[in-house]
Amino acid sequence: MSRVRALVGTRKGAFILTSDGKRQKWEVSGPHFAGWEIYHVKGSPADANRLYASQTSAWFGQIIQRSDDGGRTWHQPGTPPGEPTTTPEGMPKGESNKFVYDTSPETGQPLTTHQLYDGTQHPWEFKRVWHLEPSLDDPDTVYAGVEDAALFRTTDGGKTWQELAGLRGHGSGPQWSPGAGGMGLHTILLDPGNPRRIYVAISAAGAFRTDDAGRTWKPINRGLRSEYIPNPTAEVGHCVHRMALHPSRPQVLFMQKHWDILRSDDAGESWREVSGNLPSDFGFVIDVHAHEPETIYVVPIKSDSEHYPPEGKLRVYRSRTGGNEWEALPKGLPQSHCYVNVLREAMAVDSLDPCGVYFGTTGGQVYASADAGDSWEPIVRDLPAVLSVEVQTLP
Amino acid sequence: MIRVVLPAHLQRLAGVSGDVELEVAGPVTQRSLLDALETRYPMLRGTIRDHLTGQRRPFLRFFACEQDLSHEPPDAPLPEAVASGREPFWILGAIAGGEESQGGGGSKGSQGSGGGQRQAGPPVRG
Repeated sequence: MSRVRALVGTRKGAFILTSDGKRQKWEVSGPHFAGWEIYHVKGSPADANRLYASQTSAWFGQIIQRSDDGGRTWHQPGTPPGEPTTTPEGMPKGESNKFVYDTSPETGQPLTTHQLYDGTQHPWEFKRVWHLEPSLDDPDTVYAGVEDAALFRTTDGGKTWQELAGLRGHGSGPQWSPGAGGMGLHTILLDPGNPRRIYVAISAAGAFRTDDAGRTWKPINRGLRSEYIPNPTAEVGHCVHRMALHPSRPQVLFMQKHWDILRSDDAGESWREVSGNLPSDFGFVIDVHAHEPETIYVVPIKSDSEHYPPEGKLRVYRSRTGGNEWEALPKGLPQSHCYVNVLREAMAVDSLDPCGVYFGTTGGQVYASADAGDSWEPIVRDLPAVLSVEVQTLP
Repeated sequence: MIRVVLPAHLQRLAGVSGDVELEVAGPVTQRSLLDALETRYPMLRGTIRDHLTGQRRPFLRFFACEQDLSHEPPDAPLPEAVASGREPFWILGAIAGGEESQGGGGSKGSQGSGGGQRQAGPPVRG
């Protein structure tokens, strides 16, 4: 029987939740990396035992952790403890937590600047890794979305990272600015049908696409409307919170923007709003059913100043029509006095049948549905605030 | 043998508890001490000093012998009591607490008080 492994990043460590295919009884391990913020943990589609974790701290900086045994043991994929940090020739060995932005090859100066809250320009400064996206077919290749927003890649299992600088270098950098939580690149979608196509999203710059494996990028924000920026239909500057796609139709994208749910049927060339009858179209997460490409999930949040569910009722909303028509899925979720948030990385699906749906809250609950959202049960109730949830379906 | 006290988060990262004891070749300075520390525990590279600039990370402080040495030049000799191992060299996370606002744009990016772990601090006169 298949098994499921949920990888949960929290404000004070990582937790691994495992169950058989019934998804009724769960084992919990953790905290791993106790006391550290774990922004994201994700497994390789090419090797389920290969996991990567972003361990971070405002005090101590960025750490990348890797497991080769499904999360039982972890190591930093640079130099093993006790070994010299330089080669016999004196060159530094791999430094798994070293993220250095590219500079202009002509001048050696920073590639570009970005806008701060007050409108002034500021150079890029690395702060942390928000998202780790392992390659679909190579366990040693991983993309990292970082703050300040940029895309990095490793091809040696996390030992060293190089920027894909065409994203920052394409020209709109001075118009990017931080969202309230920083200027992070949080969404990385790899096209399973076209290895040269990648989508990313940045708060607050918008969505971007490459069709040449990361060398050049273009903004894909036509149709987005954001009343809170000077030009509501600007090419860049939108606060995209999350994007999702179904692997069978990678040209169809779904987006939770700061406000508004949107979809694109042409790889991001144009977007249309599909918020429909939602009680609020503010929120952070969005995901797609594993077997039904037109079935999508969101968790409405009251507003950008009140980060909790409308009416204090925690409800996932599902659309079986690719948007516009939404149904509430409250069964098993608290329906009074609930004031948690569900952050942008904190929803995932498994690929069992029926599809399992999972999400974590800032109140430390991780909820699971083994029936595509019809009903929910908490796997755990009292973790630290949940930052991210990913799910692996294991043979 | 030089003694170094790490903050709790870095003790966990390095897999140590209590003082770390180091041999430092040549003059004992912040730089030579941290070089030795990072050679012995390479997982600490980048967590105390910036990879590129070599600067102390802003929320960390260095103390020894009742003195705040955080702003001393990296190549200045450390006190003899540190060099001889009588007194430890303390690396501390500044106590900077509270959650930042997640504000209007929202994110998962706000910080808890990661540096404020309960740990016996260095004896510093106020």
